[in-house]
Amino acid sequence: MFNYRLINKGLCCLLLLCSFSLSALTLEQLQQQLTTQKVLRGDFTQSKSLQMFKQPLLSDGTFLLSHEQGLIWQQNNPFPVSLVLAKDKLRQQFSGKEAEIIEAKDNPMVFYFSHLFLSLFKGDLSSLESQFSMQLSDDGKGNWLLNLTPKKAPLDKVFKSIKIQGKEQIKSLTLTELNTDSSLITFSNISEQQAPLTQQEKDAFKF
Amino acid sequence: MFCAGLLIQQTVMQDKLPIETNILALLPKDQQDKVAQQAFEQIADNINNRVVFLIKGKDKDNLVKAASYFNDALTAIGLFAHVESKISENQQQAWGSLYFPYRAQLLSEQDKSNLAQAPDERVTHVIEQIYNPFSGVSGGELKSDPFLLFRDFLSARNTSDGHFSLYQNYLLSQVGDDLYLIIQADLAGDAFDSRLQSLLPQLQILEADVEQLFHVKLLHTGSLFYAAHGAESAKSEISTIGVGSLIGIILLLLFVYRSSLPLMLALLSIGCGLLVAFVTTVLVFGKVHLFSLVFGASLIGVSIDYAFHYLTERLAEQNKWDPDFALKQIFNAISLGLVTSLIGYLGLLIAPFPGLQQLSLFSIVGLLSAYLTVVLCYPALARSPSKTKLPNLRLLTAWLALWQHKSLRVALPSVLIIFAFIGLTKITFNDDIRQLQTMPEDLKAQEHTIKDITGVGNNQRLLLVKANSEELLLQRLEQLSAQFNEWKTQGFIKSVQSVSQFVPSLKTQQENYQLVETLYQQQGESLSNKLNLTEAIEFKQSFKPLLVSDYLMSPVSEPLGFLWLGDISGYYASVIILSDVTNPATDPQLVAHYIEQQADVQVLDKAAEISAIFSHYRLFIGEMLLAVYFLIGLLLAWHYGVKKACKVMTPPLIAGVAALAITAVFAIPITIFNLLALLLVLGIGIDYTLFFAEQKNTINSENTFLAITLSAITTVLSFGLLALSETQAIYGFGVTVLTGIIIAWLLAPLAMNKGTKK
Repeated sequence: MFNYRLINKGLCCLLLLCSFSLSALTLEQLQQQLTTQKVLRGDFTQSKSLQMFKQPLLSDGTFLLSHEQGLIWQQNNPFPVSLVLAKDKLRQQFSGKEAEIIEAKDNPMVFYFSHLFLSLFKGDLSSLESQFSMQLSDDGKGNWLLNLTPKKAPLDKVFKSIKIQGKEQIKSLTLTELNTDSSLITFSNISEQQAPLTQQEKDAFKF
Repeated sequence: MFCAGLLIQQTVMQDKLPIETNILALLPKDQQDKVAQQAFEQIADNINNRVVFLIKGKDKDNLVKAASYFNDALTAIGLFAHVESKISENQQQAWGSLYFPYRAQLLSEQDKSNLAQAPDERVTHVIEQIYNPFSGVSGGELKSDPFLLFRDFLSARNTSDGHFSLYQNYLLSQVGDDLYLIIQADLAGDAFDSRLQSLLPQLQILEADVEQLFHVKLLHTGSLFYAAHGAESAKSEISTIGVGSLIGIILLLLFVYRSSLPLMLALLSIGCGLLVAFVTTVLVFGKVHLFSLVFGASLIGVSIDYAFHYLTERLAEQNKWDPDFALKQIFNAISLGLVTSLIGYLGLLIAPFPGLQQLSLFSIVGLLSAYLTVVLCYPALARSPSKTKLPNLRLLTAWLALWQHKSLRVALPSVLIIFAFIGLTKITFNDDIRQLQTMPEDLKAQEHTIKDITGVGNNQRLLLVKANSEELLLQRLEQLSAQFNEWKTQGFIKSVQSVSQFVPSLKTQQENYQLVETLYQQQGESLSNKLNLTEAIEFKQSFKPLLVSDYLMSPVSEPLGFLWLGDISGYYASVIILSDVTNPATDPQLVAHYIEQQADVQVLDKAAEISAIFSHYRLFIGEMLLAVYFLIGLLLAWHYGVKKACKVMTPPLIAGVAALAITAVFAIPITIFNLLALLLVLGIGIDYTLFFAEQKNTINSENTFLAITLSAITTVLSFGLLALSETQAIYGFGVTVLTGIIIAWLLAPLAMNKGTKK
């Protein structure tokens, strides 16, 4: 014999729970959402607004983020440059010049920031957690904003806050320094379908 | 008696026995110049007092928990003055805070040469860096250092060969699937301090606890562990040898004399010998070295000889026993025996080598006391005749009878001599100090792993550099480092560590300052235009020297500040560390030759230096052996005439050479210790032949042979136990004495006065 009334009650509860979680996105959910897509391709524009500059410094290009391999950052304007960031190596190549490879052990400071940047980009919240206090808010329509405040040195000596905005995917990254200097990177044309890495892309991660 | 009691109380009964375990304490102090000596002591203290732990696991957070627990418990043990597991924010920023005010004078080597050659490229480089999102150039940084030179300087200071990264302020390294967390600690004293070593069991318990609680693996390395192991094994060897030979002697005495009085008398002379020797050595040297004790414990077998002769006499005389007459009977023989032994040891006493001096003082005093006990106390204590009879001596008598045949008298020595010469061709020498240290495999393996993971080379070379002023020293360090760094880039050296990497000479600082000033003047406008800056770039910094004292006051100098020795005996001195020098295949001596050519550079290689000392003293003892032998020969020739003296001298000579040959056949390299063993063989071997030479007839010879046999058995017992030592040098010593004594015993009847019947 089934007790229909009990089952109904249970269903109601489940629905309630679901609607709660829909209205308030949790960090865990966000983390999961950001890591579902293993490969991300798209365009970027960067705008650096520093007090020292008369007008912001603008650049744009394309990027490829692979959760396993790292990041390919292809800047097209104002000058072409290709940057490939893997786990402990960074390759930088300007057109017409020989590629320059930096290893983490030779330059731990550069990699400290590079890894931070990669974590921000990937939305690797668990590794950001130790360095930032996090506040997540959303507008109920799928748009979310993650506000990171550095809690210890050396980041708290440089940054006031770092904001990551997105919907399904990351949309923009804003780094604000203590003196209100800031860098804004916006992402667009992010490919919907998950194409695996091409051979050329795979080769780029080989050092 | 009362005074002796007081002395014993002061030396032996102290809470801490005055026993030295540091091998370096054995060595002559004045072998090297003061600067090198002091330099080595400072550096060695720093290296010896450091202990490195690695916690190995798979999970970062679990490792951090284990480290935090281990850190707290470690501090509580009291073994360490300072435990460092977390890198504080203060330390993380120390680099920046030390160097930032001097940034216009500091350039990385790379930037320096680039600025000198192509200063315009710097502008392009800066622009590239600003666009690059990974470079993390902030507005603040650009404002204080528009050419981004300071970050390059800092990065070049911070390169490491280990792949450590910070996680929750702990240093973690990943190798394959495994994570390693590093904890360093400085001892609360000296690595050879027995009080600290006694705390090691607590550390072991703690390590096991942490391993079990957190499912991690702990590795450790440091001089402390080696020193403790060395002390531990030497102590257990002393007691094995001491107790072993003592038990052997007691059983032997009971078997032969079957009575308690001889046993008590024998123990009395051994006890007096050892105790007086120990107390005197402590009074003279302050401490007794473990090695003196190891060799000293084997003195038991030698010092009992005098007692055996007296007691055998008593056993043989039965009711005709006259204690005073008996002493007269053997007095010449044991006195001559003592004198010949003392000649050998006195030779060692002259050597300016504390280890040998202790050894010889210990032996001289020990033998003298044992001898005096027999001469002064025995006649009074052994008044009653023996109630037991001589044991059956058929075997010994038969062996003696064989010696009446001329064929044996010629054949046995000849065979031994031929064998000895063949054996001598196999001889190899080895003066390596490391033979003296027991290096357990487990500790060595841990050390190897830790060095691999921390990127510290397995083979470090310390170079002492001297100059007349701080500035000149820094300039020299820079010149030398430049050459070494070039070889590092080529792969011939794994790493180069020098204070000049952290404090450039004032000359370099000034050159850098000039370069930077020129850069601002020539390229400032270009950069300012390209970036479209609101204000022109101006060079505002004045020159203020960065000094070594600034570096030493900063926490930045904690790991390597000890390389700066400062003012030593009128010189400024510092040490450069080279790790894993491999040299190119085409020139295997490249680095060594270069170092040799530098007049102000000295290699601080303690192991090589000590090995050289050992080699020097091996030759010294070799020459001394010949001198001692010659001297004893002269003495005996004067006493007995040349022919008889030859008969007395031949058996110990053959025994010595054959013992050396047998040691060589066993593939044991000959060291200073084997030659010391020969000295013992010579001393004891002559004792044996002397007693035969002193006897007028065969019956007396039989008694003498019994006493000699007993003495040989006890010596073999004590030295046989030395051959069980896990320290190569002691083992070799044991083998040489063992074989030498057996041969000396076999050949001793050669000195017998033949044909004299009763």
